[in-house]
Amino acid sequence: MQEPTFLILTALAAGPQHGYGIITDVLAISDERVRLRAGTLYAALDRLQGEGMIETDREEVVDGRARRYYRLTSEGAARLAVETERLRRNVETAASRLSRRPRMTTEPGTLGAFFRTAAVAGGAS
Amino acid sequence: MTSLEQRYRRLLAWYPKEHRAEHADEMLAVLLAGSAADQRRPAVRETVDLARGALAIRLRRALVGESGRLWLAAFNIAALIGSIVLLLNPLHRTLVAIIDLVDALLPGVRWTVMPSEPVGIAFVLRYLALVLPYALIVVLAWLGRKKAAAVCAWVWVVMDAWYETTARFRFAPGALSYLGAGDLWDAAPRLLPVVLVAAMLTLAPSPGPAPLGSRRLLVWTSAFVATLVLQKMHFAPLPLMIVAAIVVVLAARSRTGRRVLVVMSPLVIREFVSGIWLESIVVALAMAILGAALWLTRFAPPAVLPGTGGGSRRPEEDASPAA
Repeated sequence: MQEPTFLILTALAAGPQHGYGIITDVLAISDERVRLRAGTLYAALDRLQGEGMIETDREEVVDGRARRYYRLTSEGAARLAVETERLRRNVETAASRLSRRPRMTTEPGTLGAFFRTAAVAGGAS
Repeated sequence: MTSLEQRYRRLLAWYPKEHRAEHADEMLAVLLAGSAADQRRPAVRETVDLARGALAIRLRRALVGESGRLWLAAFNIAALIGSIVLLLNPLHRTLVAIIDLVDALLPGVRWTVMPSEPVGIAFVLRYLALVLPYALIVVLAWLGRKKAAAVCAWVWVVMDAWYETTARFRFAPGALSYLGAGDLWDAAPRLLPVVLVAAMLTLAPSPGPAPLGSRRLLVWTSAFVATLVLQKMHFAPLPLMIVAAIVVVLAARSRTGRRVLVVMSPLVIREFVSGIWLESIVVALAMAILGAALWLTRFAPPAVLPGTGGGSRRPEEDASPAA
């Protein structure tokens, strides 16, 4: 699953949202890193709707324009859960390996420090 | 209506009609909400993004779903048939060499007119050596061993290129083609069919006879081989072109069959054209088809793929009764 798709599903996991709501939510979730544009968003929504991961929740009229809300289907929620579990395992593995990495407390250029680091890194992987 | 809104509306005209009817208003709202207060016209990046989105939606609508499933099935069959087509030529030569040999050993029976090529067990073995790599590719593709078939095909492409460019005169002249040796550029047109089949085996999600059925494909392959051999023996009831025409007409009757014909078209046209311009057109056509295959296998949601995945391993169960 690509990151924009993951973030869109995550945005909808909290509850139904309309197009611009998804964009601002994704921006917030991703720490202002992923700014979805309209073309990307609606291509993704079209695909996700085709795959049965999301569906139309309701329509409202705001300023004379139809505003459509989308919600996660149970299938979409299941796919998001699977993807989340996969990412969680990756994150946990990375975190535990990083925590087991020795800090360079001794002088870095000495031969002894090099061998200690190599032994620990080799044992952890 | 502001001019910015009009300009956005013009960009939204790229989208399919039914998508526009449903989503144009909300997309417009999103675009306007994201625009700066003093913005007069759409930003370039926004325009590119809209064009890309429109293209993605149009491609998805055109290929995904029933139509996309049929295209994938067509790619799967075409990859297998392509490797069979490559096998036909060396197989034909081997069979002819065997017939010539038997003819020479039994002088009382004259099945053929004077053999056109030298006769002897060595020649049979030489042609047989060319049959083996193609036969291996066909068998692997037939059994649904996609990766192994693709790897074999690419290895054979490299060996064929080496043979065409450097080794032609040291080995069997005329075994692969009647033309002289040259550099890789000269050899490229002759390598094209093998490269095409290797690319098809690489890109097709699971090559195999799935919707056609192993039995029917075997029957037609045998019909081609028999026709080729019978032609050599001068009592050909049906010229090859007529057998080919029958296959094309039968294929054109089914939706998958028509798609197979489109996918196979570069290989078929390649048989009848020569000249750098027509070759270029064939290559362009092949690139377009392979590009579409790549897109389809990459972006089509897995939900539309059932039947093509495991199907190649159990072809008989997947064979449709009609067509």
